[in-house]
Amino acid sequence: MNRIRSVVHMHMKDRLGWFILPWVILGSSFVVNLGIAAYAEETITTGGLASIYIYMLVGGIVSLVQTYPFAVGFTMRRKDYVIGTLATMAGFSAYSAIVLMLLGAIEKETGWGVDLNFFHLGYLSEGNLLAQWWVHFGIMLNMLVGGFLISSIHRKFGKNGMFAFFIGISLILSVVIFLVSTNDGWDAIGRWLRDNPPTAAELSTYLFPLTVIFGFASHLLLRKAAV
Amino acid sequence: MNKVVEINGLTKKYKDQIAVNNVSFMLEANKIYGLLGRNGAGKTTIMHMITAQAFPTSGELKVFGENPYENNRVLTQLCFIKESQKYPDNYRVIDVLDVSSTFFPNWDREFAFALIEDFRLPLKRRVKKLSRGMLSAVGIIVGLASRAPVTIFDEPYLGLDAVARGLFYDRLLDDYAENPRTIVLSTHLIDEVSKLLEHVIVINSGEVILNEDAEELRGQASTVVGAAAKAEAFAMGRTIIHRESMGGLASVTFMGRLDAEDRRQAEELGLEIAPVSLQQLVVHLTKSNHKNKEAVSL
Repeated sequence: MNRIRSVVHMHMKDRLGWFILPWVILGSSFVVNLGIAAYAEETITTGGLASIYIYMLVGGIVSLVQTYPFAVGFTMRRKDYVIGTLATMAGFSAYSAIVLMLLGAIEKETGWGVDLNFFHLGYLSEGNLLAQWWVHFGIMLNMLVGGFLISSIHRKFGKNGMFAFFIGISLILSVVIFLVSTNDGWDAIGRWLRDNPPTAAELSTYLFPLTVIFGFASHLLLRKAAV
Repeated sequence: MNKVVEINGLTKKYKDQIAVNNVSFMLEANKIYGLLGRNGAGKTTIMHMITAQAFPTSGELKVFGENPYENNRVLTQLCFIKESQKYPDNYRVIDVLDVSSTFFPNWDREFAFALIEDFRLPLKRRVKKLSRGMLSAVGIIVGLASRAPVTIFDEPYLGLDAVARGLFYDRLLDDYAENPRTIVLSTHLIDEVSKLLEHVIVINSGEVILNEDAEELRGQASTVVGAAAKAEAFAMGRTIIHRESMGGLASVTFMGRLDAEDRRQAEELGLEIAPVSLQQLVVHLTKSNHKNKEAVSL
């Protein structure tokens, strides 16, 4: 069997993590909100959908911890491991995005009979079905690969590397915010956003190159990571 | 002679210590090797480097004539079973076998399931819930059923009882006879495996101190037991690797073969000649760090 397919197969064996847990978590959030909406007089709009996005971030972190030592320990090539893992994440995001998109479509028609906005959320769900799918797909894949990158940093540089990374990120952000503030940039940014408001699907498109960079960075980190 | 692993001046340094120091040896095809030595001697580090799981600081390492790092031509022919092998938490025993069958090109499914029966492993149980011995058995089954041209077992049987260990040796030898391949066994239980081994490499403090055919090795050291003064006199001029005395009696172990003349002389002195087992030899050689190094270069 092709090595990359073996890696995808290895991930798919963890049915609980990929196929059951995300929907159990999202489902329990949904059921609670459904209950609230049933008793509430007005329309209920909730951010419960975020739970599956957060799960993706955690899932990305955990998947490396769980499978990298196993796969490389059984002499899988690191490059095949990374490609196979990213392919699994892309496939998983694609299929989950279809489910979310369909649930959103049902919700738009029915409101689940209780006027609940859970899957179909204003700005996020603007545009046609494809645009909605693309938003879900983009966010989920970014979360998964972002988690994978964080785990890769930890695998390569350990705990101290993680601290250094996050300190570095905060420093860069602080400098950027400082520079924007001292140059009175916020007004300009605000005006630009008002004149060219991006749709959620466009934001998802902007997110995609970032996801690709995360994937490449993970590959570079794991290339020389011991087991 | 068909070399499958060639190591030349291999060195691995960590921040404050040298784990493997200028090690050179080679492994031939279709032989069973023993890689022996104490804990922390550097055995595991060497095996990690052969399988490209750790990276050498310097030196040359070739497996099937190529660098194993990120090299599928090499990696697909290796199987490394180590005590610390990790499995995903949600995997059941059957999942490990299923995934292994796609990782190792020579995987023998029937053999794997026969071994599952032999070791009485519960297929549906999660690996995380297995006892230490059962976990070791999973590794052993993957190692055997992988039929990898180079299969390395690093302390594979933690927690396994004597019966299961015997089973491992039997299955290993049976399958090796039908499907010859290079097998490396790294273990503390030297006596148990000494009959299996065709070649022995002993590592101490990151260096190779012995690299010898097992057949050659038998009789390379000898022990004489008898009156202390006579035993000492007999051993004089030889490289003594171990001494024990109790009252007026002493047992002295030294390197070197005994010829007929030596034996006659020992008999005259009333000394008994005892063979030195591989385990005893390794224990003696690795007990102190420096003194014995020249003893080996005989």
